This record gives sequence, structure tokens and C-alpha cells, in this order.
Amino acid sequence: MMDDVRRSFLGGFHAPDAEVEQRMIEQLDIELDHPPRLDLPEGTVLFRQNDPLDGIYILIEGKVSLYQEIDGREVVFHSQTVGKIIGLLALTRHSRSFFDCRTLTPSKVLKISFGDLDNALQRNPQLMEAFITVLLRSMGRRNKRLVELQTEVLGLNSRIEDERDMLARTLKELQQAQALLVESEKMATLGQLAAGVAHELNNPVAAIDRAAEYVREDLIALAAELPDGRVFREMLSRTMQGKPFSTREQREFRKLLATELGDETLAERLVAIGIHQPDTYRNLAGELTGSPEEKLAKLERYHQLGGALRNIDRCAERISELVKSLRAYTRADQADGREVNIHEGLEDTLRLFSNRLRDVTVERQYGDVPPIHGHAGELNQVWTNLIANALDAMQNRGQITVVTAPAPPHAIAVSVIDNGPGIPPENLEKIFSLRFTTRQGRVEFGLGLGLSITRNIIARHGGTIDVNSRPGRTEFRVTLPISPANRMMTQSEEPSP
Amino acid sequence: MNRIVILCVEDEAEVRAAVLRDLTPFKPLMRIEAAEDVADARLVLQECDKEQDEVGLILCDHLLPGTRGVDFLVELQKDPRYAPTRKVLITGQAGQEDTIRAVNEAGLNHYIAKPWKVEDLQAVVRKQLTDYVIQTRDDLIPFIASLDGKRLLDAIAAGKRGD
Repeated sequence: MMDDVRRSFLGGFHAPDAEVEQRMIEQLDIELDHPPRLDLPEGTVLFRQNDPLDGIYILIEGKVSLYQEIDGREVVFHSQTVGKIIGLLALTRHSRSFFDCRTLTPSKVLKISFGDLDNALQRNPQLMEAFITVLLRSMGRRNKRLVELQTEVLGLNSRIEDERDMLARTLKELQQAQALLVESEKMATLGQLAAGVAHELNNPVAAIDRAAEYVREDLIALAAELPDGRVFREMLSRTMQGKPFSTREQREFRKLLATELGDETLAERLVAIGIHQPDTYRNLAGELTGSPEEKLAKLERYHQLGGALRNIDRCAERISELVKSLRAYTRADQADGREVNIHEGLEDTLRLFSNRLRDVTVERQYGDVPPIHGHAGELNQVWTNLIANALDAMQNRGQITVVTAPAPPHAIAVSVIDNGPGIPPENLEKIFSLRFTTRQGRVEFGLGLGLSITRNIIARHGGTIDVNSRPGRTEFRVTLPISPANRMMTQSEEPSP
Repeated sequence: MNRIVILCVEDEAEVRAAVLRDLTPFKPLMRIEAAEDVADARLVLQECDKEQDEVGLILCDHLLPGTRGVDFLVELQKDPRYAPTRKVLITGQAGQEDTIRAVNEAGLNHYIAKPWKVEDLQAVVRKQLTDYVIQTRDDLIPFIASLDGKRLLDAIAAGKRGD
């Protein structure tokens, strides 16, 4: 008996689905005496998840869907892969359904209680065989579907990860672009402010300059009317034209004069007003009237007047030089594609750096270079970045060498060389790439931004920039074509550097 | 000679001339010296030391060629000879970090921002020198006329001998 069942049971595995299913229904009909078929319209819910089930449904005609509600959405697990037996999992789950079940088309089903099914299966080996075959095939299909679902999920996950990475990259690029925009907007505003301030400074400086000149003229005229006029004029011109001595030289003069005169206080006061020789003092004092103290006081007053005028002159001159450089530097932004004098641009830039150049020796090796066709403002930015980098590298102490030279046949070369510690070889390749970090909500740009802007500007001019660095000597060498016509040639001439 | 020295360290000749002229009211009583950088200032200190004059006040710029002003003041603070010396920065360009260091490590007594007003500079110098003489001198009477006379008289009354 058992042998028969096993043989036919295994043999049944090869029969087509329809045939096995047909046989299962025939045998159920025989055993259960033709139980009634239920006709269900489309959309009928047979049971819900976790409903207690007291039997199974055999789907004779139509289609149903097995789904679950997850986060308020219906997630369909099986529709094509339901099979003929519905409520399969309830068989193994203490009579609780695992899915929601709803008809997708008008369907015909047979409902069989677990008790009836159990009895029928025990009585009828053929039914048992057919039922188990249908059961196993359904399970197999559902299992395969689950594997497919799992694979699909894995695929989706990796696509989501790719997209998330892409979004993160895009976001970072957007942030960089925005930071650049904000920064360049800020720089543009600062540039306008600087140009405005420079312009506004021009008038007061011109007025100071003029006023100093008038005061000098009036003083000289006044001197002609004074009894001490000649001495007054001589003291004025001595202080205004004489070369000022260093503090060290003054102390030495003071000591010498003190020895010669035998009067330390007098020597101190004389040296302070630029008189280092006893004879000079005697001659000047000889022309004056009054007591020795009165004479000395007069000389001091005349000296102070001259010194004040000289200082006003010199300071006004310094301010107007700075203003001129600032205006040239900022105004250069407006001029597009003119003949640019490289040396003027370098000098303007250096002058604007003067407060950082106190401890720096600047050596200029200017060659005979022609003006080049380009954008003066942008080139100034290049010199600014290269000099700022050099100063940063050597912490504002050391030597900067600026070299210009023709680069035959159609280009010029500008080198900015510093004697700082040099750039480590592993960083050399990275220095031109844009890097920035955000710290405490503020965007900070390192070497990267300046140099990447620098390289862009040079590229727009059809030029190239090279860096050569070892400890104690770092050279940035910029090569620029003289005119746009050469630019084309330069580019086509050197495809491989 | 035991005179009190005011030392002005400033690298720009025009600014130095302005400070020195502003110090004129203190001239009869004090020895006024100028240096254009820290190396030069050290020479002045040596000379004063040799001539037994004591540096009562240093007016120092910060952005100097070579050694910075604040570094010089910190160095002086560590030297017992110059610990009582009053230290004043005159600068427009010391960053916050340097200034904090000057206060904490150099015992900075005052900070004058450029550009300054004559009266302000003279008031600071008068106050600092008054502090200095009260701290270091037994005989305060010679300083009453040109420094803060009221505080000096108070100090004399409070126990400093006035002979």
C-alpha cells in the first residue's frame, strides 16, 4: 500500500499542473460529495491578515491577490503565483491567515474545512497525492517569487544607494558653487568699495598736498619779513631737504657732539634738530638775537616747522601712491582686452602688499617684456594670489624674487619665487584643485581656491602655470602669450607639455 | 645718573617724530630715547644700563621689521630689570591674538590705537610714569610738577617719604 502511494506520488510530479489540479478537484468532489461552489464577484475580500481560518479555499476559476497592508499601502505578494489552494499558510500558522486575500476577477471557489480535508486526505491516497503535489508546486512557485522579490529589493537598494551618492555629490558641488559665488560676490563688493574709497581719498590727499605747499610758500615769504629770516629759511631747507638719520646714527652724533661741546643736554637738543657740527651751531646761532636758550628755542621751532612740513609731504605722497595703486588695481577690472603692462601690474600689487612686506626683501629681475594683450584686473588677481601664497608660505619673512622675461617667440614669462619651506611633493599635484572646508559655519578657502582661480585666469589668457618647489625655493612660473593671435599658436604648438 | 628713560620704538620716521614731539612736556625731567626697531631698542637698553639710567616706560609699535613689538615686550617682562617698566603698545595693527598675549604675558599696561590724540597720549604717559615712580622711587617730590601731582602727594601722605 505505502509502496503504491509512493510510486504514484512521485510519478504524479511529472504530470502537467492542470491535470493534477483537475484530479485533486475530482477526488475532493468524490470524497466530500460535491460540496457547493461559491461564485464571487470581483473585489470580494475572502479574508484579512490574521483572520482565524477554519479551512482552505480551492480556486476553481478566476484570479485572486494575496497582499498585506504595510504603512497604509497595499503591498501585493502574490497574484500570478497564488496557485489553486488559498489559505496555505494558515495550515501552518495555527489557522491564522498570513495575507489579505481579494478576488481580482469574478471567481469560483470551493471552501473546505480543515476537518473535512483531513478526513478526505486520510481516506483517499489519490487525493493525498494530488493535493500534496499541488501544495508543493504552489509553495515552490511562491518561494521562487520570494527569491525574485528579494533579488529585486537588492537591486533597488543598490540603485537607491547610487542615487543617494549622486545626490550627495551634487549637493556638495552645489554648496561649493554657492560658496564660490558668495565669495566672488563678496570680493566684487569689496572691490567696488575699495575703488570708491580710493576715489574719495584722492580729493583730501590732493588738498593736503596743496595746503602743505601753500604753507611752505607763505612761511618762506614770512621769513623774508623776519629779522631772523635767513636762519629760518636755512633751517627750513635743511630739515626739508636733508636726509634724516637713523636713531642709531643720531645717538652716535649726540655722543660725539657732547664730547666736543662738553654739554650733554645741548648736544642732545642740537642733534634732535639735525645739527651735528659745533660750527654749524655757532654760525646759525651767531645770526640770531637773544639769550643762548632763546636762540636754541628758535632753532628748535624752525626745525619743527620744517620737519612737520616734510612729514606732511611725505605722508601725503605715500597716501596718494597707495590710492593710485588701489585705483589702478580696481579700475583694471573694468578694462577688457587691452594692452597690459606687466610691470605696472606687479608694482601696483606689491605696493598694496606693503604692510606684509616689511620683513621681506623683494628682488625684482625685470626683463625687457612687451605689453601683452589681456585683462589687467584678472592678471592683477594672479599676481596677488602668487604673492599672497609666497608670503603665507614664508610667514611674511624672507625673500621674494619677481622675474619677468620674454619667452620667445610669442610669449612672456613671469616667475614669483620665494625662499620658504617649499611644498611637499605629495601636495604638489593637488595645489591647483579646488578644496575648501567649512568650519564653524564659515567657508574657508585654502591654497586651492586662489590657485584654481589663478589657473583659470591664465588658461583664459591662453597661458600656462608651472610650479617647481624644493625646500628653500618655490617658483611659480606663468607663461602668457603676447597677443590672442599667438594664443592660438601657443595652444596648437604645445599639445604635450 | 639715575634718570628715568622713556623709550619709543617705532619704525616709521614720521610717526616717530610725532610721538617724540608729543613727549616734549616730559623732556626736562626724563631722558627720551627713540629706536627704529627692536635690535636698535636693545642697544638703547644697553646704553641706559651702562649709564645707570632706568627705563620707566616703553611706547612700542607692534608691526616692526624683525622682532614684533609684542614679542619684545614679552621678552622684557621676563627680565627682572624691566619687570617694573611700564609697557604701552601704540599700534593700529596688532591682531586680537597678539593683543591678548601682550596683556597676559607682557603685563601690558595700556594700548593706544593709531591715530592717537596728543592729550590722550600725554595722559597715558603721565599716568604710567606716575605709577612707575610711586612703585620705584623713594623721593617723589621732583615729579610732582610734571606728573600726576595729586596722586604723588597722596602717595607721600600715605607713607612714602617726601624728603
